[in-house]
Parts: sequence; structure tokens; C-alpha cells
Amino acid sequence: MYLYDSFDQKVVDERVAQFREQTERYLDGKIADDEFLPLRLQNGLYIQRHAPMLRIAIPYGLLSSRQLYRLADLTEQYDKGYAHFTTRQNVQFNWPALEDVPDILAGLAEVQMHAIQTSGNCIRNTTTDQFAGVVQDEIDDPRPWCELIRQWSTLHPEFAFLPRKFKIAVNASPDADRAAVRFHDIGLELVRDDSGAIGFRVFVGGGLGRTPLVGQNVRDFLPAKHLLTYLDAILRMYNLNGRRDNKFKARIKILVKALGVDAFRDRVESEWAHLKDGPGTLTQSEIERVSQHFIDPDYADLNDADALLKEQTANNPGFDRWLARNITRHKKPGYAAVTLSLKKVGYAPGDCTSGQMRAAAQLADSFSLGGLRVSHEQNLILADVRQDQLLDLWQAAKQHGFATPTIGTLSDVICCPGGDYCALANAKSIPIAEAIQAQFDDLDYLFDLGDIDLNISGCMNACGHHHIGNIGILGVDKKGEEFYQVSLGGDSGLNARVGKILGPSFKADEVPAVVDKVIQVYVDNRTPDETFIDTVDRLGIEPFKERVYAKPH
Amino acid sequence: MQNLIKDGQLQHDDWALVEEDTPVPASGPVILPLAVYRGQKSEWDASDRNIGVWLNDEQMAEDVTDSLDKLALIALRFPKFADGRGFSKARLLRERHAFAGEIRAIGDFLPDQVFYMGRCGINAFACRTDEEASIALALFAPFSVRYQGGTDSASLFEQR
Ligand code: HEM
Ligand code: SF4
Repeated sequence: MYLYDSFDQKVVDERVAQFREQTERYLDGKIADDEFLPLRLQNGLYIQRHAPMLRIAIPYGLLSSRQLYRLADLTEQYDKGYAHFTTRQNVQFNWPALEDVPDILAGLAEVQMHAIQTSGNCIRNTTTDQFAGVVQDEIDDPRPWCELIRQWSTLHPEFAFLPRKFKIAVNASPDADRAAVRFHDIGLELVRDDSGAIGFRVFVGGGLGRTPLVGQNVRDFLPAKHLLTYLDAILRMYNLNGRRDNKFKARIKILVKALGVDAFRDRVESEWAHLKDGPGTLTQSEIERVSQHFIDPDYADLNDADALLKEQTANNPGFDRWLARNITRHKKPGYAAVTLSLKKVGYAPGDCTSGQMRAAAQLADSFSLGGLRVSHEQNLILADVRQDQLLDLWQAAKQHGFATPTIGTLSDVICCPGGDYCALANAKSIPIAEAIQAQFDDLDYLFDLGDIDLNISGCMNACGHHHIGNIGILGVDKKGEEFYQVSLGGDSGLNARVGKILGPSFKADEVPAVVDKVIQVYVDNRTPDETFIDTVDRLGIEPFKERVYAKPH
Repeated sequence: MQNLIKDGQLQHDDWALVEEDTPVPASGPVILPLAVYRGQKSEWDASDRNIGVWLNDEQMAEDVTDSLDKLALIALRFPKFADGRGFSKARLLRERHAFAGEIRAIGDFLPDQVFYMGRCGINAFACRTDEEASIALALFAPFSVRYQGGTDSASLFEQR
């Protein structure tokens, strides 16, 4: 992973000093509330229902065990001993005191972490595939590009006061999109041209929230060295022309839609004509310097351990399920990427106690070269595990509640904090997630149902990505009561699309039964090996609607 | 009043800022609304007074690029501190159009913004109050490292 040099360290240290001084001035009454707002937001600090909330960046999802140990310490020292991993590869503390935040940031800076630009109307944490660098089908490792974007966007003087927040995601797999790049303000897909040179396909204007839109293709091939100048051109166009009169129309997706993608592209290209080959053009030596941090670790020379694993599954009931759901193929023979589930029934999705953080850090040290990843599905990943150690890891993970074998199933719910924590919520979301997990607690059944994304948001801000869940659940307010709208057919991947709303919304206690009926329609109608999303695609939503809204006879 | 910082120092302000609906003073340096300047451009350009123009949030750098050799000062009015358009306009004026005169921030901006503004080419700051001007003086260089290039320095990677 990227290791700071003295320059990078200075940036985070100076940021802490800056925020400390700003906080003091605020506490002295010398900065008005609304003027402190952008300053604290650009350091990840929201004021929430219960207390401030601090959002800490985990740049493109990479975390070392040392960093995770530090997070555990900080949650105990300054918070209630747990934290929440989010859908954007960040981690949140829910109860810090404002006065303590500079000290928390200082504690983070010591382990090369920060909360810079994790909220506010600026360029946010860049996200990517949680399996970057270890999957087989990658065009190239996306992480060096994410780090280059991180450095470029950090304290960018021109783009700190945009019309609205701005999120960039990078995908490098031609066969899958685990970073949902078509639902970001800018989505970048690594591609090669005919000569084999690396570049990017550029999508602009995707996003969820009130107006869910799929990003549009603005450029088929951007040679890699032009990445930053092209981003500058898009951002400048947006900064100058994005709407500032209505915050619900301020995202770049609205600008792309208003101009039309062709006019938008023309304007970006004409801005870029001035910047192209200018001083922001990446040098080969910089690309190499950053890439050096992501070269493969010293993998052992191994063969796949199929025979061993087969023997182990025979003797260890439950191990086969875990292998089937929580393991991802690794590019190196004899290795595997393992997902540690943070979706244990009865716990809020993505929540992690300080004890679990230490346990996960220790597992990373013992089994995965000291590194972890955070996924947008709110789980932790050990990316470099030897197959001959999977059984040991499984047994250790079980002890800490990480071995729930439901990755990618209905029970691997993606869920925002909702009404329990968030001041903007229309409805609670965590209890809905729990009720659904409780309804579908039969592992054999979950297994048989296979891959299903279920996403829950407590309001239309869509933090839980409900639009792009195969099943999406959205909290709505009906005359002061909490209701839930259900949609079907959303997809965050290469077939990016927004789900269709089933019909009138439901009360909280009806939701598990509604999901159950939806699942029954799938089970009754699926062809062999057909996934849920494919059945929804083939049938349309009518049969689901009929079953869900059928009057009892 | 001592609310003007120019080139890193508190300075006396010689310029009169003319609002859209107020008469232009008979003598001395003036910062005119764009429409007033445009309305009689040839006369202002021919006069031996120091002439500046201010741009509101909707007016763009391109609206003055045909006059850059005549103008000694361009002021960018921030309608609200959260409105970041002025940052891009300043960079365009400096980097694309090579404007060498004074670029001055006016209106609603925060002392905490002067570092970024300076990096975008703004070199004068008419702060909202004298107190804020003295606070701003201490906030010009919170960072010694600059990842991206600006009008003040090249990007870090060009220097590494
Ligand atoms: C608890 C405090 C939170 C508040 C007040 C909050 C607020 C918001 C708001 C207002 C938006 C909509 C912005 C827009 O449409 O431009 C938004 C979007 C979003 N939030 Fe949150 N959020 C919170 C927590 C979270 C958490 C915990 C996560 C991750 C689990 C999250 C992930 C997201 C994502 C991914 C979006 C983007 C949706 C899009 O692309 O438009 N947020 N949030
Ligand atoms: S979706 Fe709504 S309720 Fe959920 S965290 Fe976001 S703003 Fe809060």
C-alpha cells in the first residue's frame, strides 16, 4: 500500500494544526456556526442527531493492521468503543466531542490517516474495487491511479467550494464493476487501446439521491498521463457552470442532463484543449514512483490447495459454505481473498467494535501480510491469504463473529445508519435490515437463493444505495409515520440501472413478509441457474407486484 | 478601515468601489461594475485614471478578456463564501489570459479561504472587517506542501 514520505506526512500534520486553530477560534466564538460549517465538513465533521459524527477516509479501501489498531484505540479513547464502516470506503465515529476532534485527527495522522474532504462540497475520497490488485481479470492495478487522484484532489485550491459534493470511482475489471463507477460524479474505467497502452474510459454525471442517474460516456479513451488535466477540465467546467441556486439540483449529473452529454463533452474538451500537455500532465517518473508502492508482495510459490480444502470440508461442517460465499479467487495460485463479514444478525451492518477491530487487525497480521480492505458492501477483506491456512482463518474468524457465510446473499444487507443516528432520516433502516436477516436465517435457503443485493436507505439521499439494489428499500414519511417503499431490479454493475418501484409503501412490520413474497416469485419462476436479477429482468415487475399486493382470499 | 491585504500585507486602499446604482466619483482610481465599464469602454480606456472592474458571480473571466491591457485591477465578488466560482475565474485570468494586474477578492469570503485564493492567483483581499483582515494575515501559508500546481508553485510531483 502507499506509504507516506515526508511531504505526505507534512500535509496531514499541517492539516491537524490548521483544524486545531480553527476549532479554537470557533469555540472562542470568533467563527459563526454557518462559517465553521464548511471548515469542519472538509475535515469530515458533521453535527448529527446525537453528537458530532466524524468520517475518516480509508483511501480506496486500503487499511493496514497498524491503522486498524489505531482506529480501535481512538474509538475507545474518544468514542463508545465502536465505529461504522460505510458504503464509500470510509469509517465513521458516531459520538466524538468537538473539542476532541483535533486530537483524534492527530492520532490518525500518526498512522498516515486523515479525514480530509470526507464531506463538504469538494472532491471526496476516491473509491475502487475491494479486490484491486489481487483479482485475475484486471486490466491493470487501479490503486496507483486512485492514489494519484487522492494527491491531486487533496487541498486542491480551485475545487474546495464546488456547487455540491463530488465523488470519483475507478474500476479496472472488464467483467465486473465492484466500484459502481456509473453511479459516481466521475467514473473511470481502466482500458487499453489497440497498442496496449493504458488509459481511461470516462463516465460523468452518475449519482443516486433524489435524482438517480446513470453516468454518461464522455470519453472512450483518455491516455493515462492526461488523467489529472482532464479531471481539472471537468471540475472547472462544473465549478463555473453547476447550479448553485438549489442544492437538490447542484450535482454534476444535473448539469450533464441539462446540457446533454454531447454539449457537455464539447465544453469539457474545449477547456481541456488549454490544459492538455500542460504542467498537470503526469510524468512517467511520478507514475512509477506511486506504482512502486503497489507491486506484488513476496508471494510464496504455491499450487492451488483443492485437494486439501476438499478433505477439510469433509471434516468441518460449515466450512464449505464459508468457502463458497466468503472467498474470492486470487490471481496467485495457492492464495485467496477472504471477506470478513460485518453482517452478523443482530448487529448494525458495517458496525465494528474496538475488540473486533483488534481481532481483524490480528487476523490480517497472522494471515494476510498485515493488510486489509474495506468494501462498499461494508465488509472487511483479507486479500492475501494462503489457501492452506483458510481453515485456521475460518476458525479464528468464527470466534469473532466475522464468519457469517452470507457474502453477496440477501442477508449481506447494505444499509445506511438511518433514523437511529441520522437527522435527515424519514425512517429507521437498521431494524429493517435486522428483521430481514432474521426472516432469512436459514443458511441452506440463503445459499439456494444465491446472489441478491439488498440495499436500505432511510431517506432519498440514498446513502444505502437503495436504487441500485436488486431489492431496494427506501424509508418514506407518511403523515409522520415511517413507511417503506420497495423497488426491484436495480444493478450497480456493468448493467448499471435504477430499480423500479413496486407500488405503494409498507409499514415496517410488513417489510420482511413483502421481501419473502418477492423471493417466492423468484423461486417459483426461476430457470436452472438463473439469478434473482436475471429472473426480474425476464419477468418484469408485474408478477412480483401481483403477489405482493394480492388481497388475501 | 484597515481591511485590505495586498501581496501579503495590510495596505491602505486607494481604490473606490463603485456599486451598480451609485455615481462614479469624479477622480481617483475606481473599480467599476462591468456594465458601467462596458457602456463607455472607449472613454474609460482612453482616460488616464486607474480603472478596475468588478465581476459579480455570474460574470465570467471571458467577459473582460478583451480589456486586460487596459485594466489595472479586476475584483471578483464572492456572493457567499461557499460560492467557489471566483477560484476558477482567478486562475483563468492569470493562467490562460496572463493578466498581470491586481486580482482582488471582495464580498463575502472567509479569512480561512485566503490560502486557496492566493494559490489561484488572487493577490488582494478586501476582508469583511478589520479584525478578519488581521486573522487572515496569519492564514496565508497553513501548508508548506502543495500537491497540485497553482499560480504560486508547480505541483509537488514536478518537484519530487
Ligand atoms: C449519519 C449521517 C449522514 C448524513 C447526514 C448523510 C447525508 C447525506 C446526504 C444529504 C446525501 C445526499 C447528497 C446529495 O444528494 O447530493 C448523502 C448521500 C450519500 N451518503 Fe450519506 N449521510 C450520512 C451517513 C452516511 C453513511 C453512514 C453512509 C455509508 C453507509 C453514507 C453514504 C452516502 C452515499 C454513498 C451517498 C451518495 C448517494 C449519491 O451518489 O448521490 N452516508 N448523504
Ligand atoms: S439515506 Fe438518509 S437516513 Fe440514511 S444516512 Fe443518508 S441521509 Fe441519513
